[in-house]
Amino acid sequence: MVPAEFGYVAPRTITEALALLERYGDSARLLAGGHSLIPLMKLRLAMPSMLIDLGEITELRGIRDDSGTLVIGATTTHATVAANELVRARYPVLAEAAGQIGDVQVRNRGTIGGSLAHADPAADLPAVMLALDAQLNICSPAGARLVAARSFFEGMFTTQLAATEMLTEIRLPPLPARTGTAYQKAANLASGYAIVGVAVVVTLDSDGAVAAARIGVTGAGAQPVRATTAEAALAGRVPGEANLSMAASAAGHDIEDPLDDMHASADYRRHLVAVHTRRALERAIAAAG
Amino acid sequence: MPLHVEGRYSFAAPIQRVWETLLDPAAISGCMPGRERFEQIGPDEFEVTLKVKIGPVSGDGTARVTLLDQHEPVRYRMRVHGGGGIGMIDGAGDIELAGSGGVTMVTYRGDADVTGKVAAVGQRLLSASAKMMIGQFFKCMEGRLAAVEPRGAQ
Repeated sequence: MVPAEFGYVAPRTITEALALLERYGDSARLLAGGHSLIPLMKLRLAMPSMLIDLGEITELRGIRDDSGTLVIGATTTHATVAANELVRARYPVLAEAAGQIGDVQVRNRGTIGGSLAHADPAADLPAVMLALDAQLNICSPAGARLVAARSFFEGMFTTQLAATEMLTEIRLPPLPARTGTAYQKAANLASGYAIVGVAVVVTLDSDGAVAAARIGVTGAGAQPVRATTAEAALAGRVPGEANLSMAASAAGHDIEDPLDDMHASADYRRHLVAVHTRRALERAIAAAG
Repeated sequence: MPLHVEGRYSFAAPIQRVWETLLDPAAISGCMPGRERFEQIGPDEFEVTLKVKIGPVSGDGTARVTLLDQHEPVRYRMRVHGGGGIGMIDGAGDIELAGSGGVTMVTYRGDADVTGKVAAVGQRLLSASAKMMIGQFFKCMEGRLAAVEPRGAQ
């Protein structure tokens, strides 16, 4: 449980961090909260030769409003996100999910950007980012680009981030009126990881029919996905027993290739996705009022 | 710990061509994810050094791969034995090909015993990682099949 030898640098600005990343390339890892990376290093499953600690970069932290878009700095901790008034008022699904990650220690150190960039298939936040249609701001020495959460995740622990790029901000677009949200998960009792996690954002129109629904699912497959067949089953309809149960069952089948391991079989994961989609939809619709 | 993998992959090519590609040492060498070194040590035996990187986790190892029980073009068996710093693997899998109308369905089913560090701490991700690498392998094979048009075509 002792990591292999590594170098350590703690830049104070994003520009400095990017220059270091360019210099050390693939042999370096960015350190945010460290609650995924450090255990892997102690087990020597990860052996970066250089750690670039982002903890001293104040411009990477904090939550601010940018004319209706909420901007969350990448190294903002889960605890801060869960307690933030703007997040709780505008995106309750994010506060709810962030408040359920791991345990208190993990939430006090772990960061939103760290979790997304690490892309653990059982992490909670990727599902929420898909449901909220978040935009991720990615910086490199060449400049910045915005990537939709939906195209950010490419596989297990694999994202669009290139070796010289860094995730700096999460940008959440405003939600329309009459929108309700909810996050539901089947948590692993020991680790808190999502065996299956479902984030739902539902907007109702003036007749009470579903104007838009976005369902993000994590934990079920190698990467988070939108349950698009389930979303389509709800669109334009007034939610009722028939279409809710159709949507829930469709969500289970939206997982193309479910994980199959000691925690849950592929079939059971599909079942959990259906059950938690149903519960999340009911809560989100009630909240949309 | 036991590792079980199974799945299928569909190729838009006739069975004989798929068979020839899947068993072609150059294609196997070119399509192994993370291959660092590939050496043929017998008619159907290879020694392969892989460097695998999945997110922050990386490891390298050397394995002996043997192709057995070849019933051209419908079935063969692959045995893999070896390992490195992060763990050891000893297993075998059956690969079956079924052709129909220019499309070939390849079905695989394998069991291995995985020991060492990766087995102790990586169970959560082991089967998914294996599946991902198998998927990359077949996808690459598909690319090779598409790139090399059969003689006489067109």
